Amino acid sequence: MRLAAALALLVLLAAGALLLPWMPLATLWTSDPPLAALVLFELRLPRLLLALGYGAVLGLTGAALQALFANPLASPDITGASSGAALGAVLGGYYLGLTQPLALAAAGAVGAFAALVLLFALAGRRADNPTLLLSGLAISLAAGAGTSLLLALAPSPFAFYDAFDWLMGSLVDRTLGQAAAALVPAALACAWLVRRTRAYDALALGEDVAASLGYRPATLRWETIILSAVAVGACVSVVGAVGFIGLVAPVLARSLVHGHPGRALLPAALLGALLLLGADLVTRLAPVGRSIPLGVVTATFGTPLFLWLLLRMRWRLTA
Amino acid sequence: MTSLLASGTAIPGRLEPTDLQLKGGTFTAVIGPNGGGKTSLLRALAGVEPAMCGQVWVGEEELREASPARRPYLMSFLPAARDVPWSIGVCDAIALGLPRPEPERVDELITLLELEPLASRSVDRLSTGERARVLLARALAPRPRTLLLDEPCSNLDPYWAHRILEILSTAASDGAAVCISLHDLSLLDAFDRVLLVDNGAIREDGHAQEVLGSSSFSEAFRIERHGTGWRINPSAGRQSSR
Repeated sequence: MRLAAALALLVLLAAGALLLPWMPLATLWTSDPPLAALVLFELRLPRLLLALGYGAVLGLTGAALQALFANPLASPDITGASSGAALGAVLGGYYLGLTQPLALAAAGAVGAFAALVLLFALAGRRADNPTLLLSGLAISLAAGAGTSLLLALAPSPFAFYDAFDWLMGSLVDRTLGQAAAALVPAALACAWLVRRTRAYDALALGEDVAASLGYRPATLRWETIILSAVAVGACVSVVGAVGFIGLVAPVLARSLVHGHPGRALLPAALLGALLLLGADLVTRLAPVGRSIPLGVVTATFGTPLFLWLLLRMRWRLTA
Repeated sequence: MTSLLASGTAIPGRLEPTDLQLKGGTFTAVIGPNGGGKTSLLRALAGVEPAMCGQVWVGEEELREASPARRPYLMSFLPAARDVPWSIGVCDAIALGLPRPEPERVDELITLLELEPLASRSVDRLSTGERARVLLARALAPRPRTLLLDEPCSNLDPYWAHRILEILSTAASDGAAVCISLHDLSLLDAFDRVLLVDNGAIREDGHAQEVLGSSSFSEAFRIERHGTGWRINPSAGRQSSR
């Protein structure tokens, strides 16, 4: 029932994101229909698709990474995957001369993959909270510093200025081609991850139990790392790194499916899409005179949720 | 009744190549000193050790070739670790052992292991002993042909240690090959067969009293019989560790 309500809300918000503000669109439709169609399909539709798709990717890969590391704090941003993807995309765009969206998506995926492999090497299979947080923090800081350095030394003197919106996460002025470059590989990777739902549930009782039930934990580990890197890397290369949704959506999703880490994958995708779409609507409709960066909105709402999660875990440990 | 057959099963550096048959209907104990290789033997027999060599068959089927839809019916493995990091309900945790939903079987196990008062709670909020019973129920759920359980009686009070041996003995009587590791030597009379594992190999294989009276036992555990109890073997050297 709650999932159906979330789905209905998502449809409502999606329609709102496409049509709001409706007055200028309606006026334009009467005076210049081709231009109105252009606004609708070339500006608002890619933005809507990217918000839905990237949100779903963050939610789903966050759920998969949390199941893999047996840790509710794992997510694309906290594991350093998003920062690694940003570093990969900057390296590809400014130094390797990549301009095609798909090539940049591949560079982002390579960066995310490197970050996740490094995290796995540092934190281990069933990473405890401090190790995971510290390892992820170290990777994020290193990748963030690397990204800043690459932008500072970039051949283009405007690199920092150009990349500012993207670094903060932005869905503005993306084309349908860019949306396709991000979302097609991401959708394929996520579809593959969803096929592993039962394996992630089995992993809840440990790798040995999962293996004894006929699953292959080593294969699942590499599948999760590679496919999450592909999905997150492709989206980051177009939209930039967006925090907290990959952390919060799976936590909320598990509460809808009796705590099962695997069964939370699709609900986490749904909630991730809902959260990012909601955050994007806030950036567009908030009455502050100009648009707020997307990353700022997700961090504003995500930080209290993250703190609540930490406090809840601390309370459970001491209870 | 179906048997488990291990052929050349080994873990480099931890378990020597082992040929072993566990017959259906037999209740087997694995004993040995700390670090002797009990867990390695069970993990290899269960086919969950990534570094293992050799083959394990349950009846006509090679264990590691079996699909997730088939394997739970061939063998259940219960590791010694009892941690569950997720807030999964007791009934849901038991159902994880079943390839397809069988709510009646879950209810049956809830009754068998007297979990009714805990049924509405999540496993991460249970005591270690309570969680051990839930995880055992998960292992029993598919009525597997082989049960391999690593220290199922640890962290349990005396009632539950004996009750679980009774439940497992019944599973063996019903035709399953049941093999568990344990440290409490006073419980060995409940078993049909005892394997002594030390330095990564099976050193003795027989009835409880034969194994307890063997020189291998005295060397491995560095204790010997003294009246109705045990005392430290004065001639034993330092324990080796693999």
